[in-house]
Amino acid sequence: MLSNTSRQAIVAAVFSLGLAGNTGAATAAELVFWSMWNEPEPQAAALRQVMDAYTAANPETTFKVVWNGRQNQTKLRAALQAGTPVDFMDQDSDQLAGGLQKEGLGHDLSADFDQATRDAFLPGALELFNADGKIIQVPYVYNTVNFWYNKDMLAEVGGTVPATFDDLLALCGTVKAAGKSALVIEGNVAFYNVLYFSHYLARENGAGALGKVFEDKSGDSWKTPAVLAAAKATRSLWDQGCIAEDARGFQYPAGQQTIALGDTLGELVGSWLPTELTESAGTDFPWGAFNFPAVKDGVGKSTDIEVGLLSMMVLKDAPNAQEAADFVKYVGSEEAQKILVEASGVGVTRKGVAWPAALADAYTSAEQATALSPFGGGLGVAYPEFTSTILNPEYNMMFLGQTTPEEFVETMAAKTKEYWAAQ
Amino acid sequence: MSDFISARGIKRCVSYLVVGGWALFSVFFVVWVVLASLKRNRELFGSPLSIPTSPQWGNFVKTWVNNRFGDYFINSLLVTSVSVIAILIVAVPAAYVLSRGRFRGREALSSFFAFGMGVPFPLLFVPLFVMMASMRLADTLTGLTIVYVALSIPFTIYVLEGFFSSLPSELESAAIIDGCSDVQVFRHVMLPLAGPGVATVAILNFVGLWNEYQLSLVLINSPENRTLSLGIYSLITSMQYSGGDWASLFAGVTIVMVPTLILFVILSEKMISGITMGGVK
Repeated sequence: MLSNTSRQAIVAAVFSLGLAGNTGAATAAELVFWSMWNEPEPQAAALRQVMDAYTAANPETTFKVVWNGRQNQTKLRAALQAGTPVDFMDQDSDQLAGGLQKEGLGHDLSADFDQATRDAFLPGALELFNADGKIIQVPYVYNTVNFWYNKDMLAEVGGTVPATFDDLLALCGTVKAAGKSALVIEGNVAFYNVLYFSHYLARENGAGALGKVFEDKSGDSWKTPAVLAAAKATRSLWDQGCIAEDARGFQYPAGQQTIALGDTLGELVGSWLPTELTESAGTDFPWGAFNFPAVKDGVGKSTDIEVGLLSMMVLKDAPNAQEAADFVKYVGSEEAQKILVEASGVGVTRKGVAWPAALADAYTSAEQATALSPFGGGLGVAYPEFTSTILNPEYNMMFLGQTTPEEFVETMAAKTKEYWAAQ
Repeated sequence: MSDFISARGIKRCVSYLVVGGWALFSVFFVVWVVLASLKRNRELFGSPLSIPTSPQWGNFVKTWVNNRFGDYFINSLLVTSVSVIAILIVAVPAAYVLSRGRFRGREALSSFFAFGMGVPFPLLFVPLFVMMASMRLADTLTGLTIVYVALSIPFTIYVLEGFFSSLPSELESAAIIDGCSDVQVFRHVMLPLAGPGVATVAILNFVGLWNEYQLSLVLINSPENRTLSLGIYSLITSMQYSGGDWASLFAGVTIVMVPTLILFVILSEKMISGITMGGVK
């Protein structure tokens, strides 16, 4: 019962499709990208350049971007429930691993990454958040956790980069003698402060040690001498005068600003610090970075590092999954990674692409890495609730002097046992 | 008598101290934020309590233009103004009828609106998003305005019911004897009398919606549709990874504060008389 007009329209459409098929014309795809960046940020501008470069080479593929900012995953979850079509997105890798990836909402990209493509990534970066060997997310920005310091100040006080934890304590004395503080912390950022503990434990027992301690369901692993030693050693940073007493009260970003102001030598934090302090420290600040040093009798290597990656993920129900996968693969190419470095000043995941000058030490750290762990030894990825509600606050209280290391390990043993009993 | 005076004097003195201290505390932080918005970042952290040596008006330009606060300001102004007007159009007559009318189910209806105030917004996020998306109103300022109006009505009706109840019924009766219809009584007699109450709910709704964050975070995605509170949040979160321009952030906070401060300056007397109205009937 179709009208003549409708019949003509259908015939025309079928004819057009047939024509397109015969000539082999590529299907036009507008990829919908939900991003963790805000439009005015340099990273957004860099990604826009990458997309433009891709479209120039593949005119049939265009992009529609929603610059959501850091709440991207949260917003996306609500949008997906409402059936909003999205092809790919980006977010902090550990958040993705504990979020959309864990919920099975990522598209398997394993088949799109041949061995040569996989080998082009810096050691361990692509595999860090693999799920059962499958590539679900692809990291494109790389942040290392190191001691970030003022190179000029280190030279002025006559110090050297510490190779061991004892060297670090000795350096604290040298810096203090010069009237400065060696280290600073943010009293209210517990997950920064836990980095001391997770690193020390990893140097004692090897990479991922904190996770292994927690996964002992009896909770007894917390009571082992190594764990108590790690708690005591990190607490000793205060006793040895490494950290200025008033830092206990610092609220982010007060602590890190003391580095820019020349009052403190450095901080254990991610390689985003130079960027975060650009406004205060200037672009010519003499940044240096060194890994958490080795500890006496420890089996962990000082080249085992904790990292914070930013990844792209193609969504399982993406309308243009294959086209999105091709683009995500392109983001890891030398051309795209160079654009990211030059336009946004970030560290990237591809081997051989030099990072900005301020991050040169971090690139070395990433290139020489023997093992990678997410922040805080990765506990926050596998057990985010326990980490944020128990480990981080309990450790912070101990670190800031409100409880003793002995009380900390006892509490953690009890809480761990309680946690597993409730599962 | 002297005992009474001294006791009253001490009481008054304590009251002044508490209120004065509170006012000083609030004013100090507002002034600090404004001063911080005029500093360089290094000066902000190096001398947090100083007066800016050379005021950086460029921070405001940077925030207004680069961080698109100009767009967000217009969005916020549009959404909040339209919402407040719509809320008043719906809630004022409804509150009048619920407070003065006599009909079956009035109390149940009043309780129903009061119940609406007790529903936690986070519980509504997903259903609201789904409904808005199905009506193609997600990520639109129209959708956000509709949600704001719907969710503000219970509170507004609840407050206005109290105001209308406190008005003397003799005036209403006199108007009816003079030949006014129900609508005329409302329009020409009761509404003007409820002016302070209406101004109060208008200000409270304006301030509440101007600063609203959670619903707009869920319902708005496109940067061009962001409201000021989302703009502030995106500025804060972009400190991580992209660099901390804290002075510009304080410029943004100052921009957010200005309309509510102006509104308070203009309407504070009406608002105070509205709040104290019930106590002197």
